[in-house]
Amino acid sequence: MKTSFQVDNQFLSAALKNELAQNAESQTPENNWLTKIRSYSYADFLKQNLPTRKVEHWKYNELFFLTQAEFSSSPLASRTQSEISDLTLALKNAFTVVFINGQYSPQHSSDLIDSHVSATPFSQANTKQIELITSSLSSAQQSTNLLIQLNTSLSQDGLLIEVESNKKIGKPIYLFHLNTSADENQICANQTLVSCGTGSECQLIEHFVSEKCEATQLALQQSVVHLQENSQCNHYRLNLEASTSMQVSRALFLLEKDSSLNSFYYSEGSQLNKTDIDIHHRGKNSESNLTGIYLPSETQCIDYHTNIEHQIANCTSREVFRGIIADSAKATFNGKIHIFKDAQKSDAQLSNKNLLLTNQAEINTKPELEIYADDVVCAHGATVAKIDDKAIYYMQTRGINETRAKKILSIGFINELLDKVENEALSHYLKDQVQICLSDIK
Amino acid sequence: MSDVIDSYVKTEYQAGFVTDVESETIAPGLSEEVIRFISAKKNEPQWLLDWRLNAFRLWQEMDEPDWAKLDYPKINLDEISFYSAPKSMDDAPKSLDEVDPELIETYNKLGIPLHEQAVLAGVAVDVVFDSVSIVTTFKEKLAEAGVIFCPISEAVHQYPDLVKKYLGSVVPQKDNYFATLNCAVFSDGSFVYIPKGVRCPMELSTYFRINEANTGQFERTLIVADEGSHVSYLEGCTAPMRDENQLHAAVVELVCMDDAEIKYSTVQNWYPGDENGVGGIYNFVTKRGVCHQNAKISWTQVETGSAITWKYPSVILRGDNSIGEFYSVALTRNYQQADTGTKMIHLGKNTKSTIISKGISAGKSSNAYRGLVRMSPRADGARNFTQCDSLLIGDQCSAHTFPYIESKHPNAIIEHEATTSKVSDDQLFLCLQRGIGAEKAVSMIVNGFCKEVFKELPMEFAVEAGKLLEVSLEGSVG
Amino acid sequence: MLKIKNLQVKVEDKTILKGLSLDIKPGEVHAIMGPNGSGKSTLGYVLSGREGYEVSGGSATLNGDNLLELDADERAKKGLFLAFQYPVEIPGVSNMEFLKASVDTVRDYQGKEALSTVDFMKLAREKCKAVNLDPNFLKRGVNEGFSGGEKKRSEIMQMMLLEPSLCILDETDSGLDIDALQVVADGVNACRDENRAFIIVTHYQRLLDYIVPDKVHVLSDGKIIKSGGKELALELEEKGYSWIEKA
Repeated sequence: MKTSFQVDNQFLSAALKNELAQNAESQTPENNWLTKIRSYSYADFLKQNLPTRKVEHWKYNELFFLTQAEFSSSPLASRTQSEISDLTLALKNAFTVVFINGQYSPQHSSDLIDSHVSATPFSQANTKQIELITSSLSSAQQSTNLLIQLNTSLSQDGLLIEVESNKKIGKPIYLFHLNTSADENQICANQTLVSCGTGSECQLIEHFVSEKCEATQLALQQSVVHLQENSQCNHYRLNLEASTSMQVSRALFLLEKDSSLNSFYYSEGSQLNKTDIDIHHRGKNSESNLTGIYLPSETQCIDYHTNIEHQIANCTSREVFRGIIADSAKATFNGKIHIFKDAQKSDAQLSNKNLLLTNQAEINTKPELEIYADDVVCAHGATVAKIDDKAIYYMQTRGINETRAKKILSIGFINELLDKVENEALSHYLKDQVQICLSDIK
Repeated sequence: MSDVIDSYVKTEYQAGFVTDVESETIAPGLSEEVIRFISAKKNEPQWLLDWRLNAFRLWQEMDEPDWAKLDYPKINLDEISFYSAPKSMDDAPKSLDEVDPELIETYNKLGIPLHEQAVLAGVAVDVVFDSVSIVTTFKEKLAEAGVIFCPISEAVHQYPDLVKKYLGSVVPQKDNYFATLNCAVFSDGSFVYIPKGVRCPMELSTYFRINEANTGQFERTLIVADEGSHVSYLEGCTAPMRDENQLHAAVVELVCMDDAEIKYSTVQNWYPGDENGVGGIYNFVTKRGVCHQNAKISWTQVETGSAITWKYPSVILRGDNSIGEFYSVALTRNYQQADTGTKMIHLGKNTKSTIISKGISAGKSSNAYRGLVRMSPRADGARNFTQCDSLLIGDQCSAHTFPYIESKHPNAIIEHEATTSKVSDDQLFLCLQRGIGAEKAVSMIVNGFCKEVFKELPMEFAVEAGKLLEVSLEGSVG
Repeated sequence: MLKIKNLQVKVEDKTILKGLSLDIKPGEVHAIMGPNGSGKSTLGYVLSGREGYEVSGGSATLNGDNLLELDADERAKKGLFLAFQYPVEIPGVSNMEFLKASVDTVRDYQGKEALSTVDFMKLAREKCKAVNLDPNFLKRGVNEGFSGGEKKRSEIMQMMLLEPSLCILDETDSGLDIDALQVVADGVNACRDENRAFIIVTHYQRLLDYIVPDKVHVLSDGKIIKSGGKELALELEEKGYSWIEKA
């Protein structure tokens, strides 16, 4: 049984391999810790082989394409402010942080003076911040996804965003990621760490956009959000890249005692859009609420792997993901709830519903439960279905034709989740987006 | 309250005696010679020997699968004997009177009377002791209806065309590590053929018994239900208590032709090992059926035995309008581990499947449901409903659910639900307050939890299953 | 207006309607009564075009158009309205959006000008008020989480908005308390005029105290076995269905 391709790092260009190797050797004293993390990750990455479909995590989306191409590092690209503004969301009063090809671009980003929010490149972190970064990143190391390890190796820097303790931040923190077009295959990396201080409240919007191009842009990304005690975070992650892009990413949340997380995902798909979402309930009475929407069409692929770990007692998690799969698109959803031993009184619920629109479209869903404690309430449900005939008939009796009824019902199926989006500007934007996305349902 | 429950799960295995029968057992280890020996012992035709050897070659290229949620040391096949048969069977008995009285006594102890007059009305029994079939009851009566029910080793000689046609037709030779191993070394098992339009006049039943130490059991069952026929088949199994682990790797193939129906029920009670996890059967079984047009296959299983259970009775719904069902109760306690479930492969139009799985974990056991529901691009109007519930008794056990759902048709409907619960203190207290003892209370709650599955079992099995569960639960109340 | 001749309908090979004939003129209110399982609801479904109801014989025309050939939405556009006994819930689709889509199509078909969103809202609020529904209900999902009474009032409200020419009310009285019944009846009575006809399907005579029918028909085993004036309903109430079935 073949479980891997023996390709190692062959898909990386010579220059890129060289850069990684040099990093492993150089030990500049000031950034010693960052170099170390990178070289360790690279060593880990090299120990592995690219997985085939026999490997559970990649069962429905293997990495075979990496054996067929070579990727070089994304160059530094610059875009004018107006070019950026054309692409960003029209949010009122947001703190904007811009990344181009994974790299932090301070000139396009908001001034954070007196905002109770700070943005510090890892390379400029002070001792206390380094401690925070290293401890959070060490939790992040335990990923089953080898491309996330590669991301850490390739990230020459990272950005630490800190929300001050006991502060309620009114404006959203808006992280805008742009990948620029390129003539040859490129790989870019980004890692961002957000620390929500004790008792703080914030809104975090991650928005991914890419320029269309012939070559393959492979974007690797990892966000780690650390919710300190009693903090609250409303998080949104929108994947609106060009259909030619690929993104393999991970969002990791560490929830301390009494913290509360709302996390929302939206993706219309691209050549490959794979997001691992890990939620670690580390402190008692923490709560998480996950919502996700995926709407792939044409030949796009979307893959969400969610893993909610109840590591400790008395935590609550809710998860709802819905997808509509059109044309020859493919969606994969894997939702795992993991209740640790002694995590008594855990309450975890998961629901995944899917609509398939054609018989070239494909959905693979696997809601999983792994339970090691007995006094828990855990349930999951998954459905794959067509649009309800009864509802179509009801609408027809009110004069609405079948095609129109199907469209309204599909949009309604998604809007039910969008109605829960608290940020109004975002909610309106996404509702319009869904209308466009589902406009040719027949 | 937990003390009551604790003390309650530690009942001893009741079928754990050893029968003193003189056996012929070959030296441990696997090689071409062993396969030739088994084949020669059974006087098999050349084609079957070739078939076995081919499987053996395929198998040598394969690795033991490791994807299941099971934790056990690698099985050392060099320590296992691949053939054992009671010596006195060499010149097989013509009737029950010639059967070794020790054997008859064994089955009496198990509560399976072999004398036809004593057999519960309407159940024909085939008995497989270690690797060979000992006796098949009611043969003549079945023959009147045209039903063939005999050991597969006999069918190879008497009905070679049928066996040749269907053996390996549902579970291909290279299907998986354990199935391929079975193809190479299978010893015996039951063969059933129901002719066109015949409703089998009685329940058919096979009892499997592993007796000898250090032997593996590799039985093979093949059931062919021709067009418009109907059969209900029951299977039971037990083994002595031994300190070492014994391997059981069976293959069951069901062929369900147009408009036919097969109901296959299993009460699996292999030795589960002791309370410290020592000993017990490693049960790696491949069961699969194929349904042609309008056909129906229904699997019902009650799994309480084995140290390790790896078993996924499946249905390939090839014909339009065919139906697949899977009803399962899996109980694990002490250090038992089960990874069991089903696969429903919907190929035809308007095919339907129902999966009801009830997992009960107690002690330090681990109990996983693993299932696959697949809708092909042709499966217009197909439907599946899955309900998968876990009950945890005590805080040292674990329960897992791994349902794979894959759809490629917009008009196929799949619904999957899973829940987890425990025997709550409130429920127990209510029962105690009404004067019902803790043991009885837990057994009542568990029985209620499993009701949907028990009602699918043939009557006499349902009673047996209920009792088995009650016995298995004794001492597991925590 | 509505002419049904010898209509026979099967559902999954079982014949439910076994030759039903009915002639309804503009302005008339016909009540159809019958015991459970007599085929009352089937009539509403088959006339409105629900799938799974196979017409094995007979005909049904509305203002000369052959109803049975049309899709459900075409029938609605031609002025047929069915108030459901159990309206389906459609989470995620707001009443507002749903009703606007419905009114727009029907008006468009009738050659009327489309209503602006403002005018539509005004009209919708007005109709809500008429059936005693909180206008906030327009923002909620279609029938989502509505009580039985709210669902029925919502159906009547939709009827008032769409101004159909033939209204079929399928057991609209079931599950309603007296107050809600009054509201529903007031709504229906307010819609009565010389151009509009009603078929009121009901098990009990109660509703007919509020909406007085011109004719009463008794449906049993898929056929109309007796027709009469409004007094027939009272007689049924007193003697039960077995009285006629035996006769």
